[in-house]
Amino acid sequence: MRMRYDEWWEQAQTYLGQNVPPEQTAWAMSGQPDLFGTLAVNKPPPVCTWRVDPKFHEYARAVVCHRDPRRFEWLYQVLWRCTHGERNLVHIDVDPLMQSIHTMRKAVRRDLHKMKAFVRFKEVVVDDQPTYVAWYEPDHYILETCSEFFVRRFGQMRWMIATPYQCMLWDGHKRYTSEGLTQKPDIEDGFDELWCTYYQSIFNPARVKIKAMKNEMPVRFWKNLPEARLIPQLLAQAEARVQRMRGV
Amino acid sequence: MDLQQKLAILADAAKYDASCASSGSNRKRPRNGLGNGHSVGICHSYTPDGRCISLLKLLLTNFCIYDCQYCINRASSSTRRAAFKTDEIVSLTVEFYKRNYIEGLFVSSGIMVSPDYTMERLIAIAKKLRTEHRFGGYIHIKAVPGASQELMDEAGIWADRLSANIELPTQDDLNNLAPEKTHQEIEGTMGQIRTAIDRDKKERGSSKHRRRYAAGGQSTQLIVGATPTPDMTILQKASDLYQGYKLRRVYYSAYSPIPDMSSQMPSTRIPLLREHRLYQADWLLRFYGFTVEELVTGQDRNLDLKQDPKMVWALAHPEYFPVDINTAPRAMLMRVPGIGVRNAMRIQKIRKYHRLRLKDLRKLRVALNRARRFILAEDHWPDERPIPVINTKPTVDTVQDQQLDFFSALTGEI
Repeated sequence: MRMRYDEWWEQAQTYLGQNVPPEQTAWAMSGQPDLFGTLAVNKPPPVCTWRVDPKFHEYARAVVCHRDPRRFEWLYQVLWRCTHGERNLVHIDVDPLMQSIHTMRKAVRRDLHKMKAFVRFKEVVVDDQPTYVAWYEPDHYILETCSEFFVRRFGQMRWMIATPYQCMLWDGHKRYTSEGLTQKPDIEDGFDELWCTYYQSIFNPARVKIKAMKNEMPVRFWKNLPEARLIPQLLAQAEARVQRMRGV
Repeated sequence: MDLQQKLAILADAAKYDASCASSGSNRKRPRNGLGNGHSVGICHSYTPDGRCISLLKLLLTNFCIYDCQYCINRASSSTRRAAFKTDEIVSLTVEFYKRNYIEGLFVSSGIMVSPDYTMERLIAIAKKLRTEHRFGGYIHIKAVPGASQELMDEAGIWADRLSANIELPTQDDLNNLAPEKTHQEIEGTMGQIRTAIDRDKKERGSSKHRRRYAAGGQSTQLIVGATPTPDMTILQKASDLYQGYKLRRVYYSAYSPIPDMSSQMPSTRIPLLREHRLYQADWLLRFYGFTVEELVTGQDRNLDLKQDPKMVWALAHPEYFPVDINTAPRAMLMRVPGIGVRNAMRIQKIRKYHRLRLKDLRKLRVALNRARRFILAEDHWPDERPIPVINTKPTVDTVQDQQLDFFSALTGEI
């Protein structure tokens, strides 16, 4: 169940205008975009008639991407309380409701950060054009938000990112979305081998720190990282390599 | 030799440079170009040594005319040698970047012919990436000590970061292990870079359009544990370099054995924990307002391996505690073990609206197991809690107040 921030905000404003308390709200999901429909991303934000701390919008933008179905109502609760006597609520990080908001916001932020890091493009030819295609499984609904990063960075390339819930194509000018893929597409890229050569050569066997690696690159991401299949063998050989260096 | 073999040799040879930072350079993608600079660096992968891969780290060549004993690429080492062509490095960088493997390139080199000769070749790689490929990603170039000011001036035009390695903490250490190198020459290069950065800032003034010289600043690296030099001297050197050349970072690299080691070098690795303590101390020097003298007090002039340096300081200074979370200035909040810069700021912000209790701090993920005994909060006075006795019985005047009593119990001092 997904909803874009502007959609949520529109609905929230309607509720607020009718003075509907949080427990009486219901949050419907957005219509799925058409097959490779253009993304309505540049829609101007609705005019804000309620005085809400700008921090709220910043938090809400992230929280709407979270997977937890309760997020829409929780956000509305914050909005409700902010407009009913608790103007500074968004600054009180230790309030139980704000805690939940921050937990979700952090989860989304981390997910975004990891997606920027762990997407791996493979060069293939689609419609006679070189296209960089990636398969990625985010924890939350972050593809649209994250795609802004990829547009900024790879704007002159034609690329496509497929996730289980949505796919996005960038043709060099515009983003198009379509439904998600049910399974990982089977594609190969010759550069993966050079990348793996680099990965094993830059590893220093004299400083093994498995926990540090797993903290930053959790095992659930490994299946889509070409280099991760080398980890078991690198670890298995490490001690022997160090002994050899020491001349033992 | 094919590209894959070269890559294996020249990445292997580059891995002793610890820096992989790619932050601090906020650059828009050049028109029709590839890549941008992200103000917060991205780590694209991690190797089983716990280090991140942000940049493609390579040597242009591992042929070297110097014979530094700690280095795998020294002239007398039997390691396999290779050299990249400029185009090979450029193409690897571009193709890796397009696949989102990396944030950019960190290129260094063994010294060929002369410092200027080597520096020119490193610059050529960066220049080609920026001009022919309109590459907007991150570029870190090794600054070769002894290269000319003109070359250093040009390097920073193409690179986001430059770094000249100080290698070892004292000149005596260098004399023993790297006789061709001197701190004077290395710091001369740092001075050249600082001059160029300062000049660029001055010339740029308020104009946004001029090119930024080495937007990611300069850094350096030194090897810890290859010589008996203590942490006090290491941190003092780091502190001088931070101040003298406005370095962004000093990297500490724990000495570990390398293949085909020189007989002059120790054959055992030093504990990685020592490197970790140095980084903790380095952080405290730069962001927490500590001085080297406050942090290193042990008789052997080394940091305590058993406890982090902030805790060691706090235990030795009961006179500063407890710190009242609801009133103390930020500088004091940051001196509490378990409270970091960010939480100190959050506490300051929240307490305007709300008096903080222990459970609030727990929610902020303050490390209460460390912080608890050093703080006062709305519902928390340390003397109400069981006193953890460390090794020794408190022997305090009954006239003195209970808090002092409490802390002396912790430190075993007085």
